[in-house]
Amino acid sequence: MSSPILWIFLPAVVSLMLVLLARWSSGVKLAAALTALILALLAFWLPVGVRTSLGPLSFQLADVFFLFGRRLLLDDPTRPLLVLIYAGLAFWIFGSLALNISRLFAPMALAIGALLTAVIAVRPFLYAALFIELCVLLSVPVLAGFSSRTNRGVLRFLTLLSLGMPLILFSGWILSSFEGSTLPEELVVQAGSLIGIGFAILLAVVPLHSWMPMLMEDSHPYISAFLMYTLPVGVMLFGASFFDRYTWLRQHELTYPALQALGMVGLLVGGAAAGFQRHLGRVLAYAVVLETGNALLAVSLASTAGWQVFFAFFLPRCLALALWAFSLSILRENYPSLQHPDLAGAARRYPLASVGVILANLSIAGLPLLAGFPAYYILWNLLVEKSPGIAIWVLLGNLGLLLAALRTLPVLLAGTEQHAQQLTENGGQRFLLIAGIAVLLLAGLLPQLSLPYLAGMIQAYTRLIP
Amino acid sequence: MPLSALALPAALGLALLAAGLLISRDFRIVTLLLWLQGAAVFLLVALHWPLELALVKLISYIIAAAILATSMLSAPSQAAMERDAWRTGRVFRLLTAALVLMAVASSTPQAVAWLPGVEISQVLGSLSLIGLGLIQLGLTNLPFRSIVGLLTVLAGFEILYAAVERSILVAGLLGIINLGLALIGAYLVQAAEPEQSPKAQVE
Repeated sequence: MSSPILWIFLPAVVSLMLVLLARWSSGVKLAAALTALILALLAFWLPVGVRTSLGPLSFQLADVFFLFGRRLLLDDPTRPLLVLIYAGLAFWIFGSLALNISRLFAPMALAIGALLTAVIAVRPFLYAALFIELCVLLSVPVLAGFSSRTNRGVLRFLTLLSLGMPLILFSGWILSSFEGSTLPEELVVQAGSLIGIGFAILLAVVPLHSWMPMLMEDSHPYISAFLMYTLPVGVMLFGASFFDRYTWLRQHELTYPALQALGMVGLLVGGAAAGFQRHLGRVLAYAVVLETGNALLAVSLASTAGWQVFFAFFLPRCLALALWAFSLSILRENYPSLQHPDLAGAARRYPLASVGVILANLSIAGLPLLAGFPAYYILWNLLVEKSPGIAIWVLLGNLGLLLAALRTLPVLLAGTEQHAQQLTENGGQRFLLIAGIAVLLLAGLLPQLSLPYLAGMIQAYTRLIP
Repeated sequence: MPLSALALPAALGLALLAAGLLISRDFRIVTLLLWLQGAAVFLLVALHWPLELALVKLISYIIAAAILATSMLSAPSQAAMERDAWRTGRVFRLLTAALVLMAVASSTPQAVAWLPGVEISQVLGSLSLIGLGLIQLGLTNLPFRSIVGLLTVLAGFEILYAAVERSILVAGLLGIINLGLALIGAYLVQAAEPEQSPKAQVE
């Protein structure tokens, strides 16, 4: 038994079986969620490459699997990444239990988890771009509904992300051709540009982000938000591998200024656009654009602390996006659309969902006491040390997201006195909303429980630590 | 006749086929052009890959085109929409294709210098497909044409990549991606097709 079999092939096989059993929707969702949870727990507890005893049993999980001449390597330092992937999956799939969602969502989510694990495991790691493309292809049938309007966002999503893959594969070839020798300067710029454009496409960096708001508008909010969480996380982990592998990328004079510029643009555009949206789904999409900008800014600090903040953002992003998308899905099921005029007074009938929307929005905006604040606080401190001007611009971007929340609140609370206040969410939705809000608050109030573990993910990338 | 003798005709053929994809309106003709494109891609890929591995690429293209054609056959309104959307602007698309091909022809020698080990016919065919595929993607928002554009762009990339990477895993994954794109295209075409009443279906 090897770790790739446990964390890649097993969930892939389970997801295939669940597709065949898809007619039993609730059972399938529960099975997928439990599978993800068990895999997360195993990643947390089970060491890799070390002999382990479980009562009378003694076994050792090998860390490598050979596939058509290439390796899938999941060694012990990558376990925190596995916990991140599968715990996040479990969180999202459990949420889908209380939603009227495509029966293929849970199997698709589990399959995407397997592919994301393959992204961090495959050697040479450049082949990860192919697995990311497979994630995109897997997600389209679940995203696409039965209207041409839905196809619009899905086609844009499919086209843009498919174009990112060849750029990364090809730039990887240019780099590997000069393995062990100094890269000529002209090729550094070419390879760096190809890598940069490829990752910009995959991460939906401004101005290549248009598919996100289109998808949130046209497809199911929960599925769209799930993809906006998992795909960027997978791409970011893949991107960290580039920095880990190539010294010239870490040391080139243009790398960090370019990342800083892209991060700033993403932050400002995401924040400003979010502040003026009248569609709650589009606000979420622009919040993701802003989050991507934050991640790039953290990397641009060119320090171990910056990388630790980069990893620290993953948990609050997961919690906030899942809660936000869950709440939006409840509202979407019961209102004609997520446009402001259609949601007037929604808080009177769906108070918990409305609170979920606002709190998740504020968490990503970096409001204190919420999950996003600790990582933001560290990032702001690091940015102020480097350049106070940049820190001010970051705050302005987050203010845009705060403005979005402040504009949403009166819309949700509006309504005539004839609208009686009631708790219309069903039992399962209430439980999950309360749990989600509680976890969001807990993560903000007690960051010491999670931050050290998240920051420790940097151990999986040995060369990022000087 | 060695394959290398067919490389340049294949590259020129690819340029014409990709231009043909831009101006043809009927999905049947598009399918035929995709098959011929697949055959030309096979010839260029086979310059560096073993024949059996290159055949994987040819087969995946044939099947992908067949999947798309089958989905369009059972989606008459989508087929009509595709024809109507591309009724006008043929001259514009032809001129655009000519512009792209001129740019490709002028940049091919420089690209060959950047890419050691890649032949000029491969660079020419590859850049033609990538350029014209991107034009195809930019001029449409219909699923069938979008998938054809994506397959064209990826075919162009695969020609270049075949010169530098001979892994079975990569060949297999790229084949799966091509088939996956075709299946996605078929799904999107069917999803956009309005439902027929049982009486209409019987008639």
